[in-house]
Amino acid sequence: MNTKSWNSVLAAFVVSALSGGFSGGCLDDKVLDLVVTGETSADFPVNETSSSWTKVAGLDVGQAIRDILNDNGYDDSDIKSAHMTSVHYGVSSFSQDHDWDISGSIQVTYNGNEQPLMSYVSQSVQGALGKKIPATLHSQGVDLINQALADFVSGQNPVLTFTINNLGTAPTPTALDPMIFDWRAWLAIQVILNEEVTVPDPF
Amino acid sequence: MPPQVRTTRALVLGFALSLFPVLPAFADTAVQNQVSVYSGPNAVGYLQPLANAFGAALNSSFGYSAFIPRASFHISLEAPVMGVIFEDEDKTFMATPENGFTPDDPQSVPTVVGDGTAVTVSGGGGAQFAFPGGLDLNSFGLVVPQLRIGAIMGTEALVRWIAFDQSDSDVGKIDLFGIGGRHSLSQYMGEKPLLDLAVGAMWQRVTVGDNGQGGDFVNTKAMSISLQASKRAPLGFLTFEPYAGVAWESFDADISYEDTNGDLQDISLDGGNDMRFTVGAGFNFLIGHLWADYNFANTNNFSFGLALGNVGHAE
Repeated sequence: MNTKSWNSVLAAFVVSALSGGFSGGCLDDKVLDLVVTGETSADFPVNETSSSWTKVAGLDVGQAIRDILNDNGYDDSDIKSAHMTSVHYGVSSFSQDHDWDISGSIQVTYNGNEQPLMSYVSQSVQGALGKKIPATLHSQGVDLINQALADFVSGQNPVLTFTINNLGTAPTPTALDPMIFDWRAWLAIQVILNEEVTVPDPF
Repeated sequence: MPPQVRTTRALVLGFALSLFPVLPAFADTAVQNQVSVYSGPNAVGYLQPLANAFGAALNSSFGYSAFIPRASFHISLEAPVMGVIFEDEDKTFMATPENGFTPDDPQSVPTVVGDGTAVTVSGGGGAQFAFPGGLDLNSFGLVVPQLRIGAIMGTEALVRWIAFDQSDSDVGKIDLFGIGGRHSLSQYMGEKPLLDLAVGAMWQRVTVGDNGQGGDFVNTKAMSISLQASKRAPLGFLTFEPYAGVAWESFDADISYEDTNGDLQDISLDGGNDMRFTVGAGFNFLIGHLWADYNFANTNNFSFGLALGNVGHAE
């Protein structure tokens, strides 16, 4: 074999090795944990003439998770687990001349089981306007919400009920000076999905 | 047409066509999905190993020989394969829980190349925060087609280019353009210099993927200035050519992605390398050149490849 032939054979060998080996062997199928974070909220319109009052709002957790997944291009078939991350609260509208300080708690109810979720003490309504204030959480309420999320993962469609038990207001509202504002509570949820991906991992 | 010319042309065409589809050597969709739970410093820390690897790979393989003829027509189509093996320290970073989660103590969690399992931590009241897993990668690889043309006054030009849009598939969208040149210094060192010596510079711009709102997912710029020495040694029908070099380089990446709330997140990353030292060797034959080298830098990497064309360096 002459030098030119050797050159052609060498080139053909290297081309085959590079193109075939690299393109065929560099892709790996993997299953990864993908985390999707989403938030849902419940609104509590307040128009009260007394210091103590109660407000109730329902939250379809199953639909909330499906909305979070849909917003990110997923469905519930690949869910591995779900848990709550945080609760925030705030005032979404308030336009009265003077402020109110309120104290109370929020309970969560699921399957007939009611548990405390968070408390608020001397919270200024004006001070909470337009803000998302992180709540200090009670473990009983967190566990109950996580139970509802686990039930969703196992195929159920849980609905939570949140109840505001406001125990004190300063100054005291009256019929001539009612307390009017819109209160909102946000529940942040994380869903962990099994995602199958094909990624290059050539060496 | 002589048989050898036909063979060479067929090889060049086949070589190019078979390598181009594997050019997008990272899965931008998978990366976007994983990083979407992060913002700010967390996103930077999560993606930094990939930026380091991309920068190190991109700034590789400009030259496999410092020999540049003073004046002759040389052209070659080349496919450098550039790789980085990730180390253990690339697999984790310290991240802070987001979305108002308390306590926000930093946690050691997977980077984009780290373990695929999410890390979940517990906070106040038993609430939990999950950090996403990585892509569980051992290595990063990049194949970039490049064309080398020379030589005038001991100077050659190098162009890297590839652009395609297959956004509906797993392949995604890539737009890469790079241009550079190298100039022989050894031409000024007498008739028979002890070593061949060349200086070079290369600038590159790469955009990858779509951020979901009409912009690029990744927009990078890379720059390298290098000094290289090599020595040609006849070896049968081949020429053996060891080489070494030193280079200054930069790499900047602007990343834009939608977080899980649909909000656009913009972050900037720098590649980890400033200087690199290269050692390598090549075999030159009549219609091509085969080379391999290793690069010592903050992020070490290797490259190898094949050039096809009339790049014969034998004397």
